[in-house]
Amino acid sequence: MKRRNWYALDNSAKIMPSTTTNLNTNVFRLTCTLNDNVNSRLLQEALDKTLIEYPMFLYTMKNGVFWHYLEKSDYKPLVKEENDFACSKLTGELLFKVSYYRKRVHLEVYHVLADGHGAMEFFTYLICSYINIKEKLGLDIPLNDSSVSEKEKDDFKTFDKSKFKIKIENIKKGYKLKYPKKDTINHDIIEMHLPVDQIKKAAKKYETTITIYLTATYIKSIIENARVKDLKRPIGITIPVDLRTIFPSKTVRNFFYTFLATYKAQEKEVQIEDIIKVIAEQFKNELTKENLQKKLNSYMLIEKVLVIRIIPTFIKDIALKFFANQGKKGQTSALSNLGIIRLPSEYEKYISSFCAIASTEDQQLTACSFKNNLILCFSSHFISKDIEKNFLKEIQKDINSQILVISNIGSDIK
Amino acid sequence: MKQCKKCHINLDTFANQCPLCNSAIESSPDFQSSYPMINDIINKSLFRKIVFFLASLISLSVIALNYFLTPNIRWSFFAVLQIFLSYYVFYNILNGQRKVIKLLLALSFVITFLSIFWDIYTGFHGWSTNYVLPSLCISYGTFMLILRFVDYFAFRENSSYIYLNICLEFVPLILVSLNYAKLNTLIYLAGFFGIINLLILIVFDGSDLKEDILKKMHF
Repeated sequence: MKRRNWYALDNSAKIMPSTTTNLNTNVFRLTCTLNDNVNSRLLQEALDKTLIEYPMFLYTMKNGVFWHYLEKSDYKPLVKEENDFACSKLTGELLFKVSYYRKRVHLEVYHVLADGHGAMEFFTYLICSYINIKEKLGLDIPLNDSSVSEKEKDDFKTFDKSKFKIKIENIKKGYKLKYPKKDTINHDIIEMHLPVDQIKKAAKKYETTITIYLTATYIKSIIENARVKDLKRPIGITIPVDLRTIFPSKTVRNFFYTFLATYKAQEKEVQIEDIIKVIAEQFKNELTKENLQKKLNSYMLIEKVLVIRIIPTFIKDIALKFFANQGKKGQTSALSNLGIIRLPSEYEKYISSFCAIASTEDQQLTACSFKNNLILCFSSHFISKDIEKNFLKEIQKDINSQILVISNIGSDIK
Repeated sequence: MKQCKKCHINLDTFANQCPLCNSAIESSPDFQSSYPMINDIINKSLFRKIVFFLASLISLSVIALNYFLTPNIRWSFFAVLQIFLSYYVFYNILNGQRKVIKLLLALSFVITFLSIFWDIYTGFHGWSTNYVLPSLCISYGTFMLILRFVDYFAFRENSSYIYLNICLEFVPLILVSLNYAKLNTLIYLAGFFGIINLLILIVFDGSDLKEDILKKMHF
């Protein structure tokens, strides 16, 4: 199949190269835990098959005079046993990596290539291909009906209706997590495996959704760990919103918008119900089609301004980094919910769970659920894990069963 | 499965302490973690720091030698630049940088610039523009020509450096026309290589050239 030789980065991806650091590599990881140990030869075969369906993953990033871009690569990705920390900088030519360890298969993706939804689409296809080959099922892989060109489309451009009216938003400075960091750059990962039905029940108790419930719990655990005088600034949690829920897009590339949920605590003792009420109101007001269209338009305007377009890449990267930091002024942390992963039952019985981990400069929480397993992953550079501990204690008030916590702490050999 | 009695959780971790509350947890003999043991990168950065320290030490020794032995000729400036250039190449290789061709071109530029600067500093005798610059252009041009036939994929991947090098190969002739260099065999050869590479580019890679310009210059 003939592929395009190159394409421009999408709107979200344009800012990623300038904000990539040793701490925040802009790489996220998706993990699938199977019921049996992984067979690397079959996994390689499954990857080769998957890349026929998703050839837009075989691109590498290059520097242009005015913007970075993605160029077709003929490198063949090889499946390897996990030998590096989660969400480390990708050192190969390609912008993704598939690895495995015992029963787990990992897909790590540089955010320039795809967002969580797109990467998960690729990953589920890979896992289903693997199961199909290994168990000799002879079934059709669950697919959507999109073509390759629909999958690689930049849908920021498709749905752009911007006119030349730039509105600069005044973002209030948020509370920043300023705890001592480890002396190594690898993330500490803490996975919490929770039963979905009990979390749903807890969210229902507060008459809210799981995302809002988790956001409120996260905010509460941050407040409990903060100093009183720091609470004069609001806690801001950035939540990526998949624009595919509003616009009919089939792209696997980035197509999301980041929404900042904020809560200003009056004192350290807060009730979760109060936080939920405030956050739910913000969700209701912010996440409407008109509002999301306005946000998409404002994102696209920035790359249309001629003065910005003709600045050379190396200067633009510095400026974009500055503006990205300004944009994160109100952010305390981030929560990314990939939602429910659904596969046909013929495949589900071979899979135990799915989870996601995102790289971060400080601390981030990701959520993903499969069957009755909701996995929350904290990735952090802080030495202290008090926020995670507070979060767990809050969740345990609503959960009856013993929670499983998986962590990579202690797995680094000095 | 390990357990933390304080947090009331089951644990899957290599650590002997609970990752949340740091209380001691009992390890089980047949424990197998979901995460593998990985070498920490502190050692890598320590090695890099040692090399940087050595480079700095050598540079200081060179400066001291220059000051005491030949204070009138400031050759240490170029020696120190060369030392840190070597460190830069080493640093990139240690970082897994595989853009050797890009590094080579960058090195050529720097050596050319340093030679011209040294030539001017010592009264401009023209050896940098007559010999160093055309020699580097010919070497790099020959290398790219060989690469084209040995590894066409790598050649195409580094197309922008080829275009840059072709432009560079005509620079000695331009300097001759501005009286900054004298025509000699090397300059003739550099110009000849420039014409050959340009012809090959137009005849064999003409369609790719248009696409390359589009992708590099898109805004």
